Amino acid sequence: MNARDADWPRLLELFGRLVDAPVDERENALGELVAGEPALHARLVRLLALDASGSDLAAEVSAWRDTLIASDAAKVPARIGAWRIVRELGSGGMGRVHLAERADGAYEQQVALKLIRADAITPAALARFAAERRILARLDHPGIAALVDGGVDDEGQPWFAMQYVDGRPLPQHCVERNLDAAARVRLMIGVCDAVAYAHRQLVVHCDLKPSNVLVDERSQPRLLDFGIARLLAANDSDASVATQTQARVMTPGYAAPEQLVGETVGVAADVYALGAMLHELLAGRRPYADDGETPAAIALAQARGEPPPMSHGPTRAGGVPAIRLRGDLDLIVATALRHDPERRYLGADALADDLRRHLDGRPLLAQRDRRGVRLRKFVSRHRVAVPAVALAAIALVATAVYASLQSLDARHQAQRAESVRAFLLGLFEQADPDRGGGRSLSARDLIDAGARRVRHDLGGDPDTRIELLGVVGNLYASLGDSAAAADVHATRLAAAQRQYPTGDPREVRARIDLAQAESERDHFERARELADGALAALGNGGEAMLRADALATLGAIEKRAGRYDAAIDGQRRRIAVLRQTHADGIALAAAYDDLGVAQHALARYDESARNYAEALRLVESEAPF
Amino acid sequence: MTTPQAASHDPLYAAAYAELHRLARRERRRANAPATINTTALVHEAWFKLGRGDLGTRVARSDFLAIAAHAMRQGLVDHARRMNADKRRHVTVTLGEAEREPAAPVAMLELDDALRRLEGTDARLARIVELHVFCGLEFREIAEAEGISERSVFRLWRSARVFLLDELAA
Repeated sequence: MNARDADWPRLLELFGRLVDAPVDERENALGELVAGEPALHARLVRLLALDASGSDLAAEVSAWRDTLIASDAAKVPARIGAWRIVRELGSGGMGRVHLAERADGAYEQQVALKLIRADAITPAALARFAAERRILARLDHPGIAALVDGGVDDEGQPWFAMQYVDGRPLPQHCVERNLDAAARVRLMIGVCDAVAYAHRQLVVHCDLKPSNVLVDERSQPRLLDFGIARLLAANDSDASVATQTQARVMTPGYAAPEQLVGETVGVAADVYALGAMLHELLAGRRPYADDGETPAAIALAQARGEPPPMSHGPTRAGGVPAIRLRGDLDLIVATALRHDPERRYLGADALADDLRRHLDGRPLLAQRDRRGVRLRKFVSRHRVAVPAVALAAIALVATAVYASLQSLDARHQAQRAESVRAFLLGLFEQADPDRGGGRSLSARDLIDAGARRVRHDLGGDPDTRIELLGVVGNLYASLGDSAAAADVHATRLAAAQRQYPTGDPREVRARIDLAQAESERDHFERARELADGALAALGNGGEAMLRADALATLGAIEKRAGRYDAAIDGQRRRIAVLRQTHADGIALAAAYDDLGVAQHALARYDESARNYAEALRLVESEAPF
Repeated sequence: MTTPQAASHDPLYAAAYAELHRLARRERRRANAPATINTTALVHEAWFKLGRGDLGTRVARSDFLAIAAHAMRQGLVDHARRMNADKRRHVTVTLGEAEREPAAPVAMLELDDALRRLEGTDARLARIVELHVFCGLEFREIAEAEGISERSVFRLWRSARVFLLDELAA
């Protein structure tokens, strides 16, 4: 022990005696000390100074400890059952999947081990999890990742392990190996076989999409994630008898119309999703992808009717040439994607059967449908024929909202999910004839009910309310009721301006939508003011695509108001913005097309023709063939 | 009173450590769990279970608290050591949200060393630091456990604190 340490007992004794002593006493003691033991005096003075300042050790360590223990406790244990966790494979919805291997070395095996996410444990999630495990236990097919093991961990949380598929998601597999149409069709036949097998075991997957299929080294596709799968009631005489979906956690673009409205879901919904997967694998884009990128745009397009033949749109990168899609494949996909479940293929095996016929060059069993596929263009833009389909749009957007919740923190996420669920349930209650006073409700009635609810309810969460106001406003716009649309969007804008700073994308988007609605009902002054306001709010920063949308709106307003020069100016500025950000050709093509239309109206035919040609060139350059 | 050194060999030490860990995980796994855990509340809950003799041993509350505080200190120091080792090895780890860990506000390893020197000088001061800093106990609770007045605890804490701050700066 050195001299410094040896002095501590005395120093502590002196400190304890003097720290609370009256000033006189302290000064006297220090005075005596400085004469006899100057070094000790200096250390004591320093301690007294430290007492008055210095960090609060306890508070700092406590805060660190509490955070650390919380994050440590959230970790997955290194070992679960007989399995050692290697790394996380993915996380979504309520589950978390880890790669794991035998910890006891009994034999070598890798599994995908699934747990419920710590922040998602609720009685409903536990029940859903148990159902998934039960469903997997019924399935034993080379096209489905099988259940390997399961149990309950030290904290009483359930887990199960599936066969680990070391492979690539289906779309990437096709693109990376540059597969031709026939090879892609063969892979989808494999998927259809697995789905048909599941249907025979009375299991409906309900969430088929390309990312839920992994293809291994031997080109065997394997179906994953039965997280929202349903068991058809075992006493149903016919497996096609539908069952009720509860979880409205689906993927926009793949969910069938009847699934979106919460109607009974049977094998036909899986057939629809298989059709959408075929569409994406072959054409390189989902059905309705031409109608817009946002879930809302896709939803509205889906609400208006069945998609155009898949070979008609531009082939995107990764797809196969459109010429290979005409004829058989167009018909097969269109048949799977029919809105009316009864007019789709009867099951996944029937779809696989026609795909095999196509490969063999035999005639298909599917019938060309005169009423359906081709007439979409002639269906009035402003009429939603089937209320259920309008509801599908609402549900789909709500689903998208739900999906976007993933990025929020757990508490906020749960609140928003609850608000959206309550909103939807409210609408479906309205749709229930027992509550509707016996009369049947039109799409308009349902949207009115939605508007009332979203205006008054959801008090808890302004973000969700603003988003849903946008959905309802756009639904009114799609019905052609611009006055109602403007009314709802005005409410939304006011709320967004209270909630977000000026220039926030959600605030700007509200201005743009309101501007469009005002323009539609010929309130040009107001519309112009709003579009200019959106541009001003964006300032010099802001998202380029938003700025382009604001300029497109401004151009459309001026064109409608007959001020073609101003319209041309707006479209030119929009093109400049898009050029600067290297936007994709389709967005640019739309801008050149709008520019051409405005010039056409001024009889500037040469310029107009040049711009139409440019639009055409851009569209064609997007398609590789 | 069990000394901290002896405590780490006590079966109760392991039991307290395991129980605290289990409780922390349970808290964290509740839906909507906050980003921090009230560790002090967990210590009280663990005492409630272990102290009643659920493990076949009855133990004085003051002994249990000393053990829990020491276990907590050990855990945090071990953790800081691992974090340092990772940093030295320049490990790039991609961490999920749950695993993102805050850096220690004070140099934990140096604090541990200083605390060991305090143990050599005055074991009671060191014990008070463990209870207050690592277990998060209030002066009133420490006073009860130590059988002295709250005012005395406060004065002793101030002595211990300046000792540690001085040693950390040395």
